[in-house]
Amino acid sequence: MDPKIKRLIKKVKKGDQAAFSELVNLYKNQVYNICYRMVGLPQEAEDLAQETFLRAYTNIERYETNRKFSTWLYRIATNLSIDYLRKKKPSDYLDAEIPGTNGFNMYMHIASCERLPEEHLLENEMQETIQYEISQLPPKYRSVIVLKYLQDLSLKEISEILDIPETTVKTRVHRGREALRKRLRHFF
Amino acid sequence: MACSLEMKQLIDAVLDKEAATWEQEKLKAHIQACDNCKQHYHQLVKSVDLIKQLDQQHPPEHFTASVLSCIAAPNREYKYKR
Repeated sequence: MDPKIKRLIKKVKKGDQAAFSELVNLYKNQVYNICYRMVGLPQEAEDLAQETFLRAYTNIERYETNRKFSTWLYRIATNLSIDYLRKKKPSDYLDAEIPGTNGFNMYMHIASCERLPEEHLLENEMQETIQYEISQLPPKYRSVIVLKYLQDLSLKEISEILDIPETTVKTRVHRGREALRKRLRHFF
Repeated sequence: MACSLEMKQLIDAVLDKEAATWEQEKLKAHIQACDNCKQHYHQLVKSVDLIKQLDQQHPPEHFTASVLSCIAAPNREYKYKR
């Protein structure tokens, strides 16, 4: 493991909060992105990312320094995100129709609120559409797609993060990729 | 859809970057003759490309400060209790 990270963790284990704040700064982007792509909502992603770091802080004694710190951290983040998705009521989904609005859903609402200047319009809408299609994938495919294609992690790392065999990760990459193709093909 | 299980597996191997040169050549030759597999393959390539093009999102400015303030506050509530 990176000696700098190792030193920081040693300090955190002794209760050094400044060292922990350095760790947060180093990993907050990746952790936030994993949560964001898993749940699709900025506020929820922020809460989940924050909870990830709080769990990491309170459980730092359980972290074994011979393993990669990011793997341990991403595992907390994906577990929290998957738990969140499991507990979420179906009506909380973005594509759930808002009662009495005749086909209007939260997804459209967000898209109209976050409209960017003209030159980014198409690009931005495309981003939202792709995020929407990701959020329609079952969580078990969503997590591997996010970790492989957005975090660029190896099958081995993904298998450690999700605690499933590499062969299972591979199957889920294939099925997730195929599910996405079916959802995205009308754009090509 | 790919026209056979063999072709589907070949497409997956190529996309996983695990295909040997001869396998890549085999797929290449096949999709020149088979429109179904050609379309399936290109749609998968494009889907992966689109995903990879998604922008990095950034947590808000105050993120680190809020984490630290939660650590400092003793009786915080667990929002995502297991």
